[in-house]
Amino acid sequence: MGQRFVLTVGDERAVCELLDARAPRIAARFAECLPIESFAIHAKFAGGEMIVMLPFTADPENEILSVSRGDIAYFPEMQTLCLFYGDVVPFGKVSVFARVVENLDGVRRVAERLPDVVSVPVRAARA
Amino acid sequence: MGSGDGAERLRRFVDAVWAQEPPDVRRLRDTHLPPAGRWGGTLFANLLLLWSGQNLHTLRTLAREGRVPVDALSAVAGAYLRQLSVWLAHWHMDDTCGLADALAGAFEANEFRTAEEFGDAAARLSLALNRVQNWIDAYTPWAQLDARLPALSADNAPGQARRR
Repeated sequence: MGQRFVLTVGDERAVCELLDARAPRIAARFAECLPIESFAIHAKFAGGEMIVMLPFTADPENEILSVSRGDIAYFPEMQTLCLFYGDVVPFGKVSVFARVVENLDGVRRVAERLPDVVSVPVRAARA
Repeated sequence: MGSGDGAERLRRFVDAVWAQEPPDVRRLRDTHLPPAGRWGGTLFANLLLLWSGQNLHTLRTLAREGRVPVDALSAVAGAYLRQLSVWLAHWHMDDTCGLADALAGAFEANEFRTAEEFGDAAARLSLALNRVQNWIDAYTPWAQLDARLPALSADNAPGQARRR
């Protein structure tokens, strides 16, 4: 089991697990930067995806085009965390480095309001 | 990063724009230029910053692959940043213009001599510009634009009247 962290999105708290074996560099860099305070916006073209900018740069690793619900990825060109909460229209390869393991439904409820509210606060911290 | 001044300036800029909406973005939001008003500037600034981050990423990749000399990449980066600054000045984004001009000067002076130094500077600058762009996204209701602003029909496209 990988290291866990808590992602608080608006008023919902999700537990996530780092994929230390599949994306060791990005997972380690993310863990070093915790806690991270940022905000989420909705993806524009990829369907059920929420994005959060992260304060570090990293090269691609474990790149995947067809992601699954609950996957958390890093997009190096924009330094963003991409959380896939629903049906996704694959838009480009991303580096999957973590996964939501508890309360994806809560994150989805907040993310589905993002097209209207535009942004919500996000905090990522050690579990 | 090779240039201590440049690295420190980038670090301070990212610290300043990370947690709160930067004054540049407040000025952009409040600037209405006729006839497109607020949204024309917002969309232009957003996409200019998006492409600047993307272009820096591309230059960094070329530096790492060793296919283009670092001094040539530096000249291109400097030219891109000068152009970015000219555009963003229309909306009084003074702090971002100041950063772009300072880093343009550093690139033009070949302060980043190795591929590693160039790549590090490009990555840090990309992070700084992307964060400003991220704040613009945070007040732009992208998903509502399509519903509220229908595109004109193809019948209104230039030349259609002549063909009818």
